Amino acid sequence: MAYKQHFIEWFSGKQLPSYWTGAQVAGSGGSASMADAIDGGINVNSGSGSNNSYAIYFNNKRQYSATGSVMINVSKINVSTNYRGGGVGMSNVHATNGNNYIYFQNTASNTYIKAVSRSTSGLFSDTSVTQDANYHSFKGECKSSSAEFTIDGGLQVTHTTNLPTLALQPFIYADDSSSVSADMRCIYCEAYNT
Amino acid sequence: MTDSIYDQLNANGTVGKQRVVETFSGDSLDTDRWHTQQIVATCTFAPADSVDGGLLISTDAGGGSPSAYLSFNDVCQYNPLGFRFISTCKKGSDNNVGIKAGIGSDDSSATPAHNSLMTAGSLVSYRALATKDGSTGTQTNSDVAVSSTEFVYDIVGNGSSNILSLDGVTKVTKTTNLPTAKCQPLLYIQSRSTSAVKTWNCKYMECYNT
Repeated sequence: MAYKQHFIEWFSGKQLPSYWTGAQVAGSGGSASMADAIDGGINVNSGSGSNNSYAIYFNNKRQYSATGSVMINVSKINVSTNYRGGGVGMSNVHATNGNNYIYFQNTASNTYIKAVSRSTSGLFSDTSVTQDANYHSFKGECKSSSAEFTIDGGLQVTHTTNLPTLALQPFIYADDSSSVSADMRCIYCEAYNT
Repeated sequence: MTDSIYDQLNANGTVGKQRVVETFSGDSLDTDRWHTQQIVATCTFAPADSVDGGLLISTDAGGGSPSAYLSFNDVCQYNPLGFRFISTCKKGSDNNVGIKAGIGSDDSSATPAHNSLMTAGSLVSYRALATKDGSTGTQTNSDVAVSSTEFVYDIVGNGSSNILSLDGVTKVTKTTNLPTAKCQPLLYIQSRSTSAVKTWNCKYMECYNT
């Protein structure tokens, strides 16, 4: 069997590796830096103010298939209040509007962590995992006719519509809907084609 | 077998903790990950142009104990109460070289305030485990003599003990003066006694919280 594209990121060291690109999706003041804390990983900060969003991604180098790939991410939102949150997944561009993507939306305004996929329009589904500020393992798998969303080892949601059709890249974002910034912490990211 | 590295490292349903794996292979040191902290004079950390060379850690040729760390620039993501550090060490031919490697809370002095470090220096006759709890540092020797033979070592901390294994065999268990503050991986070199370039090689480092 031919070897396929495979990527692993530990988010451990003095700074974010240069093969990641950081971008302010909305607002200003966002950043991505290593957290000086046990199990701190990378801290993606939305920037302070209302409706700010910041993402890290591969600068639109899309090496992962919308019909045969897996993304695994261990992450948490750092504070589970004030509508702060973020998401982890794979997308065609770094923003989560007008995009092809699958991702997990972990935002304090929701009761449950959501599974999201989109081609021309988005489909948002509640998982059974209550939104909180704890680390979870997120696994999203793009198949030829479905997308599967697994949290902490348990399959939560399967989408068979609204599936991405364009090539994908890993992305992690933080956003806030209040005047207080949001932090997304991530200690592991893996992506591979199947 | 799963295609996922994550699934091979973590039991199904568990949430992985912070981990880093470094293979020290390439055209230069990964300076996004690693920080060189000079303590005295100038030391270098560069890939070795030799089979199984990994990273070549060298002092300069001067006297006055040139010394330095490879660190995460005090970004401390590892838990001294639950960690494992695995690495390799091969001393250069000159035995007048101090070597320490493991985890520590800072890279600003030869002995971090909190640390758990394998030592293979020239001031002791045996490979040893050194720990410090923020104020008191102590060291316990193994029964393996210091030499230039390459070896694998493994330090495990669980809150009540720090255990050093050499080439897969448990050699030292320390239960006193254990670190309690968050730590980072550290690789250290210090020239001793003679004015000459001193070296050691490291080709693998893995650290993770348990």
